[in-house]
Amino acid sequence: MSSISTLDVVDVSNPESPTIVGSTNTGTAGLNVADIKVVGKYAYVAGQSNGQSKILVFDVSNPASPYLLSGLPVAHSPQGLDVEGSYLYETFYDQYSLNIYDISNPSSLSQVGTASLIGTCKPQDVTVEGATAYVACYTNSSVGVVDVSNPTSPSVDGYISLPATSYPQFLESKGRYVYSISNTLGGMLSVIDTGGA
Amino acid sequence: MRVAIRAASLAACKVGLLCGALLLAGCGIVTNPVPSISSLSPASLTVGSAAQTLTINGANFLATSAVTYNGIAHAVTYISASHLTITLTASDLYALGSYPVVVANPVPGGGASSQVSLQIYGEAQNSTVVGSVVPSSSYELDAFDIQGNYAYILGDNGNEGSGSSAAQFYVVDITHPASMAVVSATSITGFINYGQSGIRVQGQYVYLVSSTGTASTNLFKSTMYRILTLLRLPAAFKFHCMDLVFGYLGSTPMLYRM
Repeated sequence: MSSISTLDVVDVSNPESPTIVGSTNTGTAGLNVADIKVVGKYAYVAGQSNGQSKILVFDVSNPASPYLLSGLPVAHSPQGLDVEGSYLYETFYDQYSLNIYDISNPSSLSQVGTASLIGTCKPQDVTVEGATAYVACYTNSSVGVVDVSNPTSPSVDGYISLPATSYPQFLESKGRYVYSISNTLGGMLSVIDTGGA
Repeated sequence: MRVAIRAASLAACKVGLLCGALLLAGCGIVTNPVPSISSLSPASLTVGSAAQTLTINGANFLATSAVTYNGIAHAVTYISASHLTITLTASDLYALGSYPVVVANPVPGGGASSQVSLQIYGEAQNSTVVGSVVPSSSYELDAFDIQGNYAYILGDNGNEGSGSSAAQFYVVDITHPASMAVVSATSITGFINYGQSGIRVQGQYVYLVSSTGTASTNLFKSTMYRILTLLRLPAAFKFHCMDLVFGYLGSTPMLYRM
């Protein structure tokens, strides 16, 4: 039996002497973590264990005693996660989708919208820049662009083709540029100019 | 499809094709085939595009074929049994979405094709890849972070969980996206990757986390490096974790790991 997975908080204010200051269990054995983001006093985690997928919210306002605040069962195969404002964005590899959750009440997340991606796009990471979400389409070597200005009704704005067989997996966005890397031999760093400010 | 042939003499009944239609000369019956669409050209357009021609590629098209776009009939120009065109107006292209195109042939026989959709996309069409770089042809890229003018990338040789596993740490100058350059590639001794890894840059430090050992032991290790010197700091400490993220609580930098 797998042991219960944990979330640990490490104080790195002195990088040469990192210290684990707090720890809590996730309440889930063998949790396979897909992604984690910390915003404000909350840590948001997407993962799955034994076929059960969840988005977990931890209160980390007190680093010495983080605790699991809530958990929302979600569809199979959550991958990338990002948080922007009052919304959490989560991709689902096997669902070809980007789902949006309202996190204004961290104790009780609720799904408010979903964007269906093209049938060749199994998404991995997601990064949100303003009102636009960028999704790494691993299976068709592109980056999906989703207009999330209305989180309850996101719309796919198009796909940006990356070099063939680049299979993007992770994304970062900085201003007008979106960066992707690929998790295949000969892995590639690519830069997309979105033309934004 | 079964067609009943009524003729005074079956010997006078000749079968042929005319513009894709099955012609039963002398039988008094022409049965139309069911059309099919293989592709649209263009397959997608940018929202707000000007009026233009849409070419429908497929088979069994007739001079009498009808076409609907988003459920609305459009005038058809017959090119051949495998090509039709319609004209899309600006009002057909003003909104994002996926719009079905269907070709239908009249009776007798005939019928509607399966639908193929024209994608109307937004400004994403104006985004372009302006640069790419491959740090090593024999390494995968597992995780990265962007800080200032540099991308910090962790890679491995794809032999996770084996004795031949190796990891490298790359620093790429991204000041000019069209001409990015790998400014350093450093082998990370003792950092055995198992495909689950994370990297974050904070101040002058790079924080790496990955697995060590074999798939069965599946232990994870975190290591910190100074960016400028890549000098390994005190002995790596081991724990179970699969990702890293930074946050601040007040002014105290915190590292969260799972």
